[in-house]
Amino acid sequence: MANRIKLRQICHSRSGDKADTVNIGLIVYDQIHYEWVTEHVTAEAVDDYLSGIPHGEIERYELPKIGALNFVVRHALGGGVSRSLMIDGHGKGFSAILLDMEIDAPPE
Amino acid sequence: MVGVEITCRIVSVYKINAAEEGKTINTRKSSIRLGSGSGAGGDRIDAALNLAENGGIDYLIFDAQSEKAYSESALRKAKGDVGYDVTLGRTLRTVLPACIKNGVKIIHNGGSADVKGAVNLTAKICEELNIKGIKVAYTQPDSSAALINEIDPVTSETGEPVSTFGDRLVAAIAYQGAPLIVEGLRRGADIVITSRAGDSTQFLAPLIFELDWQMDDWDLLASGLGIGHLMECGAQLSGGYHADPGMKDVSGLDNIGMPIAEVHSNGDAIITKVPNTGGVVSERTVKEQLLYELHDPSNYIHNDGVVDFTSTEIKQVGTDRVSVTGTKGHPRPSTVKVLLGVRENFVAVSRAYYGGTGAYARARLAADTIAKRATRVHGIDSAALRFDFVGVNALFPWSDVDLSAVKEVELRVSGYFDTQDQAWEVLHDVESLALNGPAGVSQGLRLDYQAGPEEVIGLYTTLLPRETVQFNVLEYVVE
Repeated sequence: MANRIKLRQICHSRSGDKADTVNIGLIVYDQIHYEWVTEHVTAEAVDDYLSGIPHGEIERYELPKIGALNFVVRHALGGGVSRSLMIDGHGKGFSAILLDMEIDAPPE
Repeated sequence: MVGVEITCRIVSVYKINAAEEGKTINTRKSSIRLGSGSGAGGDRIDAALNLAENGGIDYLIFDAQSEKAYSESALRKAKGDVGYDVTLGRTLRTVLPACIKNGVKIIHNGGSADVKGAVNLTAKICEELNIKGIKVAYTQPDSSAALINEIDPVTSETGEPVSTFGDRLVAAIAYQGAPLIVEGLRRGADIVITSRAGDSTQFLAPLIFELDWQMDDWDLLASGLGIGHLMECGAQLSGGYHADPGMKDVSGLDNIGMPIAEVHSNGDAIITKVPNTGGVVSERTVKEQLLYELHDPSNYIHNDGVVDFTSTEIKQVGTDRVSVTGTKGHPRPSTVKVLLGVRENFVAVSRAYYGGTGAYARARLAADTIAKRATRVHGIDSAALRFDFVGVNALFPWSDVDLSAVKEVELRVSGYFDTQDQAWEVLHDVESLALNGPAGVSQGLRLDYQAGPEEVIGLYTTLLPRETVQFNVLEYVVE
């Protein structure tokens, strides 16, 4: 079985809110890993990883020039920060949560 | 204090003919330096002062608005309280002397639901500080509230007409574009105060004015909006919301230097920060902030244009110096977004703590007890309550937590309530867990509990045809 790593070993992240939508930006530390991360961290994989938090549709956008992916997760913030009962109504902690996701380690 | 007031009505903000309205200034510099004074109301004021004193900047720009802050202001005003950003006075008292001394102009969007009140406060502070002869430009409420009554457009989020909200609608305001601020600057304003200029817009406007950018040069406008997007959250660009010890170390978080953008007339920019401060400006901080609150990177829609970040290049060019180039743009939308604030219901939060072996089981029992009493005694649907077990699974259902091994738990009880009285019943029940609930409960000074229930202002949006919304720019001279 392939070695597994946490995303935080090769990526950093920032997340933020717009109404009830959270977006999670994922950036590779080293451009060499961009292709691998793009292949393994799909919208479906993130949807599955976040299954314990109520959320809607997930779209993924690619920004190859800066080595980043952007995940836009709808209906993930309990109605948005103006009415959300969630501790993380602003969604800024989703970055750290995504970095805990495990994927197959990239080849040496 | 003597004030002089001049009004300029702008019917279509993109057809300004300023020459008709009196003396105006036109300029064409090769570059200017913009400083970000705050990313939210109540941001660090000592950092803003250091920026005004030592940043070598031409403009000090404060973002004090979120969608939520605007609605809160509207509600405060409706209750007879202050309708502008409550931190505005603190900000101006602190930075005005340094700004006057260094010739730094101020742009601030904290006018909120009472821009005139904010201008009066500014004049009063000038008098206190013995500052004379400065000009304040400001925007008045736009015509969107009247238009909404007339047209009754569809609410984007619900698909229903706005009139469905009835008298629960407490605020309606259009996002303001750069031309309003540009108009104020052309009239020689030292300070521009708007009610709700978009965050990025506040940075674009001085670029249009100082670098003589045209309102249909989409790549330049997008470059300026892109720089505004990076700058609008203050220290988030220069080392805030970034440190992760061992992975991304940042020194001096207690004294982060606010970010500065050196913008050239061709749209290229260098991001840097105030010298001799904490924090860091790196490719990592700039990339993270580019992604912040972004959806489709090729179609980031603003009032004044659409930004395409997929061509943007970010390169470290020196210590705490990063270049941002190559951003492309598309024409602005034909509609203007209008923010709607709607009174909904009440929320309340309270907490109890359990420690030692079996902590989670006792917290769980306490939660079940609160839920049962809400239904049986208070007639509240327990589905309106939320129970979080902080330290266990409140943020995420971590797969590797052994519930029986948890030694400390915060039980956080929150809920939606139709009335404040209902909310108080549940808050009292959490308090009385001390006498009636599971063993080993820890409770101290009840800060949340003392604050009591809070009214929810739901935020919605609607769209109006761009040419229908009318704005005014006024100026006030402190003599």
